[in-house]
Amino acid sequence: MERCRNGDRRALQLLVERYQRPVFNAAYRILGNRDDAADATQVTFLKVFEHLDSYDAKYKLFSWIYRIVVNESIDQLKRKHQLQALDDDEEAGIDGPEELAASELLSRQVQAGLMELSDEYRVVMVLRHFSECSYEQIAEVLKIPEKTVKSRIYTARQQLKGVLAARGVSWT
Amino acid sequence: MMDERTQQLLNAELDGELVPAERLELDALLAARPELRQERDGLQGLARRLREAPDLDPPPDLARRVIALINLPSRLQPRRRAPHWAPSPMGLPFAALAAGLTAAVLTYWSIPDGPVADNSVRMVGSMVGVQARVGAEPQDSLAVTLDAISGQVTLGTSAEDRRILAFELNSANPVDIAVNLAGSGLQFDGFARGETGVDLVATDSEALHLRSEGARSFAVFLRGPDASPAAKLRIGLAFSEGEKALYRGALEAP
Repeated sequence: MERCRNGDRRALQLLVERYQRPVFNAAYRILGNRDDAADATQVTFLKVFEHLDSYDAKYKLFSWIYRIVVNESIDQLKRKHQLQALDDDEEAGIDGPEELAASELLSRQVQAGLMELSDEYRVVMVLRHFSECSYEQIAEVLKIPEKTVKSRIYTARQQLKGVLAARGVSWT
Repeated sequence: MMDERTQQLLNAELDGELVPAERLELDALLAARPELRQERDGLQGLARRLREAPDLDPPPDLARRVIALINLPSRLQPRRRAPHWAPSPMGLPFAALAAGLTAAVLTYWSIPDGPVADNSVRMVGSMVGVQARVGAEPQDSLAVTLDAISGQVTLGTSAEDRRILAFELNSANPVDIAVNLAGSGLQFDGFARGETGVDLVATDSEALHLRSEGARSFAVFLRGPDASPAAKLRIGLAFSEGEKALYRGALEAP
């Protein structure tokens, strides 16, 4: 981090390479769209570099980066909702399943199910199940009490079970 | 119906967050209540399904794009070519705005002689990705007169056949501006501002999002479409303050 703060571009590149995959995947699972996830990831790293000086080392680096990508993704969702409300844009649908590999199909079904959750529930599911954050880490990223994290995760799981079951995804 | 405590224990077990005392408590509950075992199986199955959904690979050029943006100031070389102006009488107000804007931008970063090396890089920053030869010809304009925001947005073209969306706005509070490019075939190519107080906050596949506060002049540069559009180009604009929608309109061009 010190090298990044000093403008060491090699260090910055290593930081991007280290975190781009988890950041991109977190953004994708929140936004449901690869292009939007790529944009959110790009903006996230730009904000990281822009605010390196204000980074507080008492927080874990990944928590700080996740907080930025979660906030950026939620902001992007809000802007998109606003545009859709104004212009009735159609979100790209899920491709037909016939040519998809099973894992890809599952991934898309799971994603479609996640997108049916409200933002606050989807975010905790993404952080817990895809980013593998602990309750404590999620609480730190979202700046909410651990008790709230637990409650949201429980409700989100119940809702996701119902949504996925309705989509024909089984887990028994 | 499960009580909250039992729900918490089942979820904590799934998440590996049970402490030993809770482990004993949950084991006792599971032994006494068969329906809890079924619930636990359901939760574990869900978690397994989520684990099986594969990670996606980020776009292969993502890291390069980010690094390119970080490296941008050092890539730019001193400007050696004077800007060329070709305003028509009709285009004078727009050209004047563009001229002022360009001059202001030049105080930020110098402009390279010739095209920037990689125009495919999406730029989010102060002034990027375009040549400063703005020979402006307005194609359409939109006047906004509201309590919250007033000013004008003008659509024009540059000497390099890029479209320029020039904003001259005044607002007391931060105003969000969404530029909807869906269906236009246009792509974001650059952003220029004369001063702080306005930001390009995000771009996505079909829209740009800006935030402006105070009296500001800024421009968005667009390129495309590659093929001649069958109908007029249409660029949607939406202004909002927080959650409150203020105004929507559109600019059109041949």
